[in-house]
Amino acid sequence: MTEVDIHDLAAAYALDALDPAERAAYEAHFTTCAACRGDVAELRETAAQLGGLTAATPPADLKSRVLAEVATTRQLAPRTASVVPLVPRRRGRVLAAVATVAAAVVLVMAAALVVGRGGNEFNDQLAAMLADPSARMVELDGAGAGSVRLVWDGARVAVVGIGLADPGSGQRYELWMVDSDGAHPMQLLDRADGGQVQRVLDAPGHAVAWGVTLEPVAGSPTPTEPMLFHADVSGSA
Amino acid sequence: MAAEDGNPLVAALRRAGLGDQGAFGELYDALADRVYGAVLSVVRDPAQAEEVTQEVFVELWRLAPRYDATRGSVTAWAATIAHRRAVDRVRSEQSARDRDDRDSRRDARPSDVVADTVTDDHAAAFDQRRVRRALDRLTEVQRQAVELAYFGGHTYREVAALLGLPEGTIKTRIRDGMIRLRDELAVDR
Repeated sequence: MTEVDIHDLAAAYALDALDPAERAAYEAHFTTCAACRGDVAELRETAAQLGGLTAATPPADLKSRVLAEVATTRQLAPRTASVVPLVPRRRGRVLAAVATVAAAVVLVMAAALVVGRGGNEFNDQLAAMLADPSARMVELDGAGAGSVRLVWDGARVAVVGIGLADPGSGQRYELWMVDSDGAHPMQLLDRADGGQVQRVLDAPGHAVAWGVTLEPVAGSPTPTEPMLFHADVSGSA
Repeated sequence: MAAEDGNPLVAALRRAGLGDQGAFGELYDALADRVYGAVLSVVRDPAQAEEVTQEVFVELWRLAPRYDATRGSVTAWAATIAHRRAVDRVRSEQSARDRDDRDSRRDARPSDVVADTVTDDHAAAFDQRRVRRALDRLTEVQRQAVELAYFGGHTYREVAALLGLPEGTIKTRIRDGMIRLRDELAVDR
């Protein structure tokens, strides 16, 4: 890893030839490196041209099976800013007022997610974090059951999971913070009845992305594919 | 990439992104051979390749509203998703096997995966000849490294083990080989 610096991994990345830890580190890197994003885009075109060499006709009935599944599959919403600054700093007064109302709505949404009967330690901590104007809230994109939302303030992250599928014995959900050094395991998350997760964790550093995977109960040093939930937050600094 | 704006694939994908299943059917017809072929080359087993291909197309449907033509061609977008999905499939099976059997190794993939593909599409045949010629101009190690990585779905570490060369060497050969391919193939795009 010494003789080749991280910018040189674009080709191996475009060929999917990095192992999971390097892939995560490289993805974290190129969210902040325009040159690498350009390289990856070009090299993916090249890789796709290689792919033309192996073209092969699939069984004829595959199309009808694909279209049948497509007919019952919901599409993702178009990409919009998924990170909500709870209180944007220093805008015009009217915008600020609108933002405050928006922030209040977000806060109520967040509270509604987690408030059961009466307060508990988690709710108190979350309320304290939400009071911080620099706190951010993000909903992670996920393909599977349930949802994961995070509120983080640069020092701690509150995790709110709802309706998460039972991972079965031998596996647990794990939260990953990706920064410029790569993916860091944050904590194995215990799932309560109804698939709920409510945790506040220490999370110092500059996250560029967050992810949730399933890992063996002992945890893993690097994320095991696939990322069940993830969000790129590199644009929200 | 921007040249694809008037491209029928982009138009079909935009309509598919609005929920048009008929347009998605057109996209399937245009991409199925590439997607299935890329997946088959990596996973090797036709039944699994079919399964992964179906997953890939459902993923393309889900992601269609987010396709951004300024970031790459439709073909590269689909090929990227297909290859990644195929590679993740074999690697997760590999790690499951490794847990059972520490000594197991995925078989070396011979580079004959690039065996002559019969096609009656003249444009595709022309492109294939061009890509083959570009591959032939690489050094032997560059060509082997790129082929084992892309067609075989191996990580560069695995490629290094297969070829008995240091990892750093393989990393630079993959980089140099891909840059040379890009430059050779970009000429008349």
